[in-house]
Formats: sequence, structure tokens, C-alpha cells
Amino acid sequence: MADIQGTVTQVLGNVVDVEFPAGQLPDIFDAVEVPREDEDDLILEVELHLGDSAVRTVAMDSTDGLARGVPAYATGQPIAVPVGEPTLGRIFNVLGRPIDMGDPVADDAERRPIHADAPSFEDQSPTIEVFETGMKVIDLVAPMTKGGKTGIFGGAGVGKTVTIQELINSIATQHDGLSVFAGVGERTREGTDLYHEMKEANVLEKLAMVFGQMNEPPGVRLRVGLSGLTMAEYFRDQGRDVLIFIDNIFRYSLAGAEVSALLGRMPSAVGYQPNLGEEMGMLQERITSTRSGSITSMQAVYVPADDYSDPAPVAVFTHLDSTIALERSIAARGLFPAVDPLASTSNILQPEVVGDDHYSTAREVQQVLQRYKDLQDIIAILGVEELSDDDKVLVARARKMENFLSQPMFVAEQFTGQAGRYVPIRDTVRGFRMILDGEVDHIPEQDFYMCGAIDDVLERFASRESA
Amino acid sequence: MPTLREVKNRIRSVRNITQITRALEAVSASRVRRAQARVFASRAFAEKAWEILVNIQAASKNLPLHPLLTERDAINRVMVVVITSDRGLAGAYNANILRVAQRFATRLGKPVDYVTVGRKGRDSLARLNASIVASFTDMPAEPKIADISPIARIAIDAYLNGEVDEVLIAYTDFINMLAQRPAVLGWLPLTTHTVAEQVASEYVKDVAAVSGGIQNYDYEPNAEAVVDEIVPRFTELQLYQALLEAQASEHAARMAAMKNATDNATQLTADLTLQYNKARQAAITAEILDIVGGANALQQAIDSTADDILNAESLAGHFLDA
Repeated sequence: MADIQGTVTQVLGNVVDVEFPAGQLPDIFDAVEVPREDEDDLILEVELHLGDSAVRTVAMDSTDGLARGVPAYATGQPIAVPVGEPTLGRIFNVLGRPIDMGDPVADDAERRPIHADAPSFEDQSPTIEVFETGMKVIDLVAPMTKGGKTGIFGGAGVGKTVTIQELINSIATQHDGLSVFAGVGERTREGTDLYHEMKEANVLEKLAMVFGQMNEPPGVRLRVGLSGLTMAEYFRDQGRDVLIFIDNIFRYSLAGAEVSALLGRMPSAVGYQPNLGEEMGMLQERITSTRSGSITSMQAVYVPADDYSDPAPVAVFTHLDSTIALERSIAARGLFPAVDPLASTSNILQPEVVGDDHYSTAREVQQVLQRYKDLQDIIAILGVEELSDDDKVLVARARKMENFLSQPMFVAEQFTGQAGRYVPIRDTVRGFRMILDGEVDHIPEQDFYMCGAIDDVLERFASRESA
Repeated sequence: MPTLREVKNRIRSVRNITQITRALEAVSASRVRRAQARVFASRAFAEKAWEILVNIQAASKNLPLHPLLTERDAINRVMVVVITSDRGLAGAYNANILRVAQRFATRLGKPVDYVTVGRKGRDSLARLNASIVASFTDMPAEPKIADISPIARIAIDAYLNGEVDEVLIAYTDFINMLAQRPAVLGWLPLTTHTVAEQVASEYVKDVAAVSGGIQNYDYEPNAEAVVDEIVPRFTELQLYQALLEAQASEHAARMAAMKNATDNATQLTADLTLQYNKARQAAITAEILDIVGGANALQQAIDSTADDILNAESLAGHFLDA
């Protein structure tokens, strides 16, 4: 690399200014290397041009010990990460360096820059195919699409990570394609857990992992999603079907806000960066299925203070095919996964895609639950006795449905003490249809709590009756 | 987080409900007092009448004095007169009496004909496809014997014709303002019931203890004439008393239910108001933050531009000096 030499002129936390010879500025998003003793080079990414001879950059590692006057070298290209076979079974950081104590990636391995254009219009291929997850509530009201994008929204501690891990568990382990996991600003421990789980399930050689967790500087958290995505894109362009899991996309926005403030941009609504929408679009538009291959993505989205109107989750909403909303009040009642069946939606919940039976069952379930919600004030004030006989039946069924929407999860086995259940869509629809039709009106609602298919409920009821 | 307007709308609707429940509570409070007075006023008479009937029956053990006093050996079909209210918003009042009546009928295991008094009972039983032979609604607030005569007529006729072999009244017994108990009262034939005989004894009203008074009456002009005269009247009286008890219970139940409802609604209004205030304050805070942040950023930009200009000026001055 014919590197151009520059000099560090200012270090302001994670923002570093570098001076280059006039007229030889590196491009925006190009990487700048700062050699360090006893350590890997510090990588800086160019974000702003300051006049003719200086650039403002964001560091991809801690800037501790960095001094003014230190030489820096423009590499003439953006950060590039290894792609393809060498990435499988490995864990990387944002720069594509392995952090799993394994061998370094071979120098001749193919690398791709993490900044790339989104596929053009004619390259995109809308596929409409239901992706079974085995989780009743998701399959019923917010079915996922193969090659589509699903967001899992939720406030702090309502089970986003557990839900996404359950999805990884049921899909990545069963799915014969490749997966990429991008850990963005979440707990490091969760990354470790995932690694060991995947190893146990013997699917590690089909999974590439990229982590830039909470302890890392904002530049890392802003780019680690792109690093993971770049690996996934490569497999897609090879004609493979790839799954990408991102936990948590909100941290990407948050890192963008941090960087934006450090760069001295004027904050926009609620203190977010002024280019929040554009930044999110740059990432999301690349998560797309093309004619050659598909990327199915699942993204956890933290919702600050349970406020769904916060600009960051709103920026994500529009990019998604299906939305799974987790609700604190449901989690507080011990119903897991705490998915709100009224707020969760999917573009493919249409009779043409999922079939009339599934569609009408899902909509009727939502109607009943909505009616129950409407009645809740009346029940709170006047008591359930004041309801008409029809509404009493409806309320009883709605409560059963709410319980039936809960399900023991494989990854939560150590908390619940119950083995996870995988429920095929057909059984899910059949179960809810039976509740709607009143075939199980005689079974008390607690029998519907935390179970798999409706047969589990019948069995539980029968064993209690005979006892 | 629900939007401000949503919360505001909910607060308004809860307040509206509160107004209704509070008004109903006040209305019921005044009605229950009058209904209670009527119950107590006629209760002594009804009990005495009952006592006389029981005594007459006991005195004439072997010879059937009157068909209404004669127990039948085989009971094939039963009639239940169910007394409910016309209107709701009385808590579990109607639900309780209907549940008791139905459970009683189920345990009895005999075909049951219903006569319903009150709209709620009629609607509920009709939904269940129960056999309703007659239904009465809009009982006056101060019922007279004349108001219940048609009901009694139907029951007595059915009994005398042999269509049914037993008639019971399911109503709510008024104990006091706080307690009302759904009960099933054996009505026709007018006989004393020992508890063990009853199918669902827990719900059967205990007949007032009969004082061990004189059991041998002297009849004037003769026993038959007297019995023919008083038995139908006393029969009606039992129904009349049950209706009064039911009405007093209804008002008491409504008053309690509405009081609870008002309390609940007040609590809900308080919770929602807190939520509303929080949401409003959060919105205000967010806006202030935005304005302050924007103003600061703007100030910074102005400051740095000013610095640039000053630097340039001093630089220019420097050159001019040289």
C-alpha cells in the first residue's frame, strides 16, 4: 500500500485529527493506521475533512497513550474484513481480527471493505416464503419471511436477547445455511454464551461471529454491524442463503449519536444525530436479498424507556418486514416470550401467503384480544359480573389465549425448569382455532400457561382430572 | 408509552363512568332504605302466616285439607320461579341467583320449567335454552299483591293441574345492607322441609322457626271454608315476601357494587392522571433539551466563527504592521 504519511494533531477522546500533506487527504471512510508499540496498529476512520490538509477521524480502539505528533498512514481504502470460508467458526472484532485466540486469518484470504453500496433495484428479489420459527406467538401474528427482515423491539429487560437467542437456537441449529451473528454494544458475556451454545450444538462451523460490545469505543459499535453484514453479503453474493442476527441495532444508533456529538454536529430531536435516518438506511438497505442469494435478518431493537415513539426505534421500524413488539406489562405477568400480539405485525400475514386458515385465525385472535383490552376498563371499574354473557365467554377465551401465547423456551430452560417446545405452525393455528371455537372452554386457563401445542393443554387437563 | 391524547381520552371516559356509578349509588342508597322498610314491615306477617299454614298442615296430618298443602309422592316435573332484576350494574346479584337456581335444578335432576321475574333472568335462561313458561318484567318499585297475582296464578294452576309437582322460588334473601344470600325456597306444596330432604340444602332458606303455639285451631264457620280462603292468600304472600326481599337485595347489591365501581374508577382516574402528567412532563423535558442543545450548538458555531474572524483580523493587522 502506497501509504501517505500524516501526523496526529489532536486527540479528543475517540476523535483524532490527523494532518496530511496538502491535497493528499484520504477519502471519507478511509482507514488511517497509527502504528503502536507492542500492539496492533490503531485504526482510525476518516469522518470529516477539515480544510485542505487535515481530517477528523474516529478511532476503532482505545486512544489511550496516543500523542500528538505521532505518524499516521492513510491506507487508501476503508476498513476491510475477511470474508468467505475462513470466517466460519471464528469470532472477529470490528476490524476483522480474530479475537477467539485462534490462528490469524491468512494474509491471502479475501477481504472486503465494510462500506459498500446497497444492491440496486434490479438486483433485489422479493421472495415471499414463510419462515417457521416454532414460537407460537411469532408464527401466528408476526410470521417471518425467508429473506426478510424482522425486528424484535423491547425495553430494558423484557427478553429481547433471550428471544433472539431462542430464534438462533431453533433456526440456526435447524437451518442448513450459514449464519452471521453481529453483537453490537451488548454484554460480552452473551457473546461467550452464544459461542459455547453453538459449539455444543455443533453448528459453529456454519456461523461467523463479530463482536463490538458495550466496553468498546463508539467508533467500534458504529461499524461492527457493517463488518458482520459484509461477511453475510459475501455469502449471499456466492448464492447462499444467509441468516444474520444483530443484537442490538439500537446501539448502532446510539454509537452514531456519540460519534456525532464528538464530531461537533448539532444534535437533532431527543439528542440524536441529525443524520439518524440516513445512517440507519445505509445499514438497513444493504440487508437485502438479491437474485443470487438471500439474507434473512433478525434484529433486536432496544426501545428506550419503553417509548416506541423514540426516534431511534422509529428509524428502524420502516425498514422491517415484520415487527415483534415485546411488552413490559406482559413480561411482568410472567408470560414469555412477552410478545404483544396486538402491536406485532408482519407484511406477509395475508391470506395469499399464509393461507386463509392461518390468516383468519390470527386476525380473530387479535380481535378477541383487542375486545378484551377494550373491556379491561369496564372490568376494572364494574367487575367481570357486569359483562354480558357473550363478553364473559370472550374474556375467558382471551385469557386462555394470552396464556397459550406463552411458551417454554430452549434457551430459558435453566430459568423455567421446563424443556423448550418447538411448535409447528400447523399446530399453532389449530390450537388457537380450538380456543376461538370454544372447544376448550371447559379447561381452566392455568392449563394453557407455558405449554407447547394444544395437545399439551389437553394432556395436562386430563392428567389433573384423573388425579 | 401511550400518547397524551389517548390518556386524556381514557381519563375522560373513566370520569364519565364515575358519574354514572356515583349517581346510581346515590339512587340505590335511597331506594334500599325504603325497600328495607317494606321487607321488615311485611316479614313478621309473612312468617306468622307461614307458621299458621304449617300448624294447620301439622294438625291435619292424615286428612288432606287443601290440595296446596298436600305433598305428592312422585315428583316428575318442577317449576322454579326465578326473581332477578330488570337492570344490571348490580354486581354479582343476578349472576349469583341464576347460578344457584341452575345448580339447584341440575342437582335435582328433574325437568324444570322456569317462570322468570326480571329481564336479566329471562335473557340469561333464554340463552341457555331453558324452558321458560312465563316471564314478567317491570315490577313496580312498590309492588302490591295484585302485581304478583298473575305470577302466583300461573304457578298454582300448573301445580293444581298436575303439570308440575313442586314449585320453588329462587330469589335473594335480604339479610342486611352488606349481605344478601341467594336462596331457593320450597313454595308449593306448602310444607315444612327438613334440611336433609333438600337436594341442595345449602341454598335452601331456613324456614322461620315455628313457635310451638296452639296447634289445634277452632275454625269458624268451618275448617274447609277457612282453609280455602287463607291458603291461596298465604301462598301469594310467600311470593310477595320473596319479591320484596329480592328487591331490597337488588338495591343493596347495586349500592355496594356502585360504591366499589366508584372507588375503582377514582383510583383508575388517579393512576391515569399520574401517567398523563408524567407523559406531559417527559414531552416538555424533551423539548427543553432539544432547544437548549440546539442553542448551545448554535452558540458554539457562532463563537468559533467569531474566533476565526478575530484571528484573521489580528493576522491581517500583523501583516499590515510588517
